Amino acid sequence: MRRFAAGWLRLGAWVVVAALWLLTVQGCALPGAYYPTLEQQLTRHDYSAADAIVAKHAEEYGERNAVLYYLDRGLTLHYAGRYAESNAFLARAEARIDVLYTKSLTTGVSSLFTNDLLLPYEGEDFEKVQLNLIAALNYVYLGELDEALVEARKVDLKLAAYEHQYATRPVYKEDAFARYLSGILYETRGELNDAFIAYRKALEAYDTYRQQYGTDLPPTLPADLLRVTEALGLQEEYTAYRQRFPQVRYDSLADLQAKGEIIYISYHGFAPLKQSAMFGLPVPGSARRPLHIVQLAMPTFVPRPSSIAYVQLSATAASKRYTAQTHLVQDITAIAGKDLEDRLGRISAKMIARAATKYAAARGIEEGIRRGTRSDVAGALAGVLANVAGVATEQADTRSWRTLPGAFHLARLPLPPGTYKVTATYYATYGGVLEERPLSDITLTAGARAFLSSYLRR
Amino acid sequence: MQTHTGGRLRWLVLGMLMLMLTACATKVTRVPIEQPIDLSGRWNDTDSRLTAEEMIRDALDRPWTQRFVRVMSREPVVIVGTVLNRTHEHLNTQTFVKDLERALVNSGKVQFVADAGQRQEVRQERADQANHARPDTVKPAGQELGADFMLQGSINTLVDQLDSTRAIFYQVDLELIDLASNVKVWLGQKKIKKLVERSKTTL
Repeated sequence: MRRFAAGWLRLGAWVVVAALWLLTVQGCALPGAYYPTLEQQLTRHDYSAADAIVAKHAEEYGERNAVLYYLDRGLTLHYAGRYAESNAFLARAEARIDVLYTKSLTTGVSSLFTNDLLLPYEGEDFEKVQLNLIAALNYVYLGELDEALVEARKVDLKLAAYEHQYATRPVYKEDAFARYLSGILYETRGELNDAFIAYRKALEAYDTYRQQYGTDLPPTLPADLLRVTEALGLQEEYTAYRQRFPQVRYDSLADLQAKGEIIYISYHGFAPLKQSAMFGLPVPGSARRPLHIVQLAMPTFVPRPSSIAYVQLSATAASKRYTAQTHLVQDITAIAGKDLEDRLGRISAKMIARAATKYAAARGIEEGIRRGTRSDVAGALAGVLANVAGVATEQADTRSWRTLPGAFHLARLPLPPGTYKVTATYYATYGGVLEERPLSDITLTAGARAFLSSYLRR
Repeated sequence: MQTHTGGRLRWLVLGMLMLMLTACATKVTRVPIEQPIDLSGRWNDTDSRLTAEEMIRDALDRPWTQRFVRVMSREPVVIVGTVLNRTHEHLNTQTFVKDLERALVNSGKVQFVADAGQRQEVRQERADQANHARPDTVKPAGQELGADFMLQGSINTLVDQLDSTRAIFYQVDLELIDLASNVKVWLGQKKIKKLVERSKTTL
């Protein structure tokens, strides 16, 4: 009977060791070595090359980071102007995120023995909403406004779910830029009621943004609210906004519809990244137990601030020149930073649980090998090996959607109908001009809206 | 004795493992068109088929065709306009619109003309014929049949969600508008409701 039990225990111990070895091999892959090259291409505006780099490293992303692969591909194609292809990838990302709603319990348990990189990446809350934002912009640039509004409705559903999930917690559960863009799109489509609701939500969201991320209310939004409430005949709301913004001047809807308008969206800098900060704590051994090192790894936030202060958009036709200045509408760096801060509690709890699990596993293997081989030395050696495996696999989850820009800026420029040469002049935070870039020529008829964008990674 | 049973047990476990692995290959089954397959909860072919069937039945039952024939002594001519997507999904409205078009044409009660997308190509072909085809086979310009009615519509959704459960309500509205007087002579509607439940965990 004892020999039977010893036989099974030996087998069990080896199975555990083999499983741990397999898991360590799997858990060690971290995508990201190609990001510097990728970002170099983005800085040089060589977007097709950037996309080719992502495509080439598809294997490196692997099945677990498929969402990240689709997001990176989708965004580089968006930058390259290949909007339909971009949407194909973003749709796949969204479908995969939907599937990942169902969490695998076995993968969760395995990650306690290795690290969080074993868990499939499903995107942070704000990244899931930026997905729809980029998809909406794709449809806008393709000229399909109705499809862009489908994306706006998807954002609405997601934000409603976050609102319910997080209740009163001061975390990301409302996206001001997505709401503002939805409002602009609804207004372009002529659906003023929906536009008003979207603008109103954007106003509330910017109030929260000022507290959480330090993003101020863009000055064009109060003008938009006054315009639509006046056009809809919502007297009470109009008076309330008039009282809150007494100095704001706006074009009435009739006036604006006699003109054309350029909506300019500017992408600035790079999104922040996360790095792994590691430290080891020794747990002293005893006569029976070897020394055990508890390795802890936490993600740290590394912002990459942009040197662009704002962009001045100028449209010239014949001898007339019209200008507008962009304002910050979405600070991805601040949002990502606060998101990591909010989750730090949960991340550290998991880290401690992981350390405890690895400790218990090492002790279990030690016991198993010692009983099986009837040798203290063999047991101790097994324990040390298990500890080494545990230390080697400890890594923080540093995955994020790094191809996002650091910030979005927006400008609205109403113009009399005609053909204009449009230029964007980037002004640096230290005051001088960073760059002057000509954008495409635009022909505007009365009531038309043209959407333009440009990127500068500085 | 005990090692003997131990050995047999190990072979059994190994055999079962091999069986499980071979069962994982890709499997393709052909299914009849009418069989409803709902995988993700999004708008699918079953929804399109139900909508088309309802619209066809309704369009052919209503008196608008007889009224037109009585007044004009010929069948009505319809052109397909836009069906607005006001939902939260990128869905294809063409599938059920085409089904409706086909059923109405095949019933003999209605005539359809090429819509805005198709007639560009047709006009190009006609222009080409004027230059290159034999004179007695050239189709003269300016002979297109003017439509009497335009088919327009919209799809709307209402979504109610809580945690992992979502109730989706679709409403498809199609209208026939008289091109002369703007009178709506037929309004078809189909409502579909779905409950989608996702599980939070799996093994």
